[in-house]
Amino acid sequence: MSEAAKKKYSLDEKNRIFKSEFFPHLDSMYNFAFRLTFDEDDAKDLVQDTYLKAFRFIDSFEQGTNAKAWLFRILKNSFINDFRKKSKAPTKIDYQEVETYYNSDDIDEPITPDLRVDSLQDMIGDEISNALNALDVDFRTVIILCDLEGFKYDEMAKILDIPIGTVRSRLHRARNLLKEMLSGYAKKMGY
Amino acid sequence: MEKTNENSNAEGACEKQKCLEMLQVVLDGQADEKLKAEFDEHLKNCMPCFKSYNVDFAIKELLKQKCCGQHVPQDLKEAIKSKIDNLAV
Repeated sequence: MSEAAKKKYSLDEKNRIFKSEFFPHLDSMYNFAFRLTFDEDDAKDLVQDTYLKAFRFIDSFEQGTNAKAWLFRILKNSFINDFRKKSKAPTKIDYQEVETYYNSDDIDEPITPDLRVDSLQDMIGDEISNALNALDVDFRTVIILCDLEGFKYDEMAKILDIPIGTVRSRLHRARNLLKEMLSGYAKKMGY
Repeated sequence: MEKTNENSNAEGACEKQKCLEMLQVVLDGQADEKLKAEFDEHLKNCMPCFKSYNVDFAIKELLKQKCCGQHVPQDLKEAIKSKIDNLAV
């Protein structure tokens, strides 16, 4: 542990860090929690639990580092440890398939089968939101972190505890799945 | 002859893999200037990549427009503030 991490903040400093660095991310945190749990009460519990943990472990937060990424990491871990355990059947990704995706025969398939920009622009919010929600939680998470929250690959790797290469291949696979679903919507709309 | 075809297929797949990786990095704003320029040049001559990039970009924009902007419920905000105030004594 670095010197900065060992340092104990005074109560005033803790309050200042909390208000100025943690609290501004409340909306993003709630959005993330809601898209993981699909339940308003669970999302509230998850966000509250995350903020209480953040305060309790504030001494391990180094000022000047990315507070949002630190909070997202706590929330993701709380979700896995506390909330996902409650679900009946934890979802699993065939990681072997994901890891080898770039080298598979799928590479020869058209990159974006019959999906066009004009059809996307005619979609209302529900369609894209439903498609995102229909993704397996691990695929959904990378899309949320990258496309909704704008985290960089290295930040995502730290939040998710996975190598950058896995972040990128998982993101690639997630986007293809999203496109398949949106293609289905586009066909229904007559495109 | 067969060997030549195999090599040609392998080169094609390799090229496509490079394009997909480049597209993703540029799309996510994580490419350096050199890679961005290389990709821009590639788009001028590759219609599949051009189409794919535009679709991916449109989806990324749509996600940002339609799936963000949720506000935290006021009661949760108050509850967190109150619990932290209690802890911070």
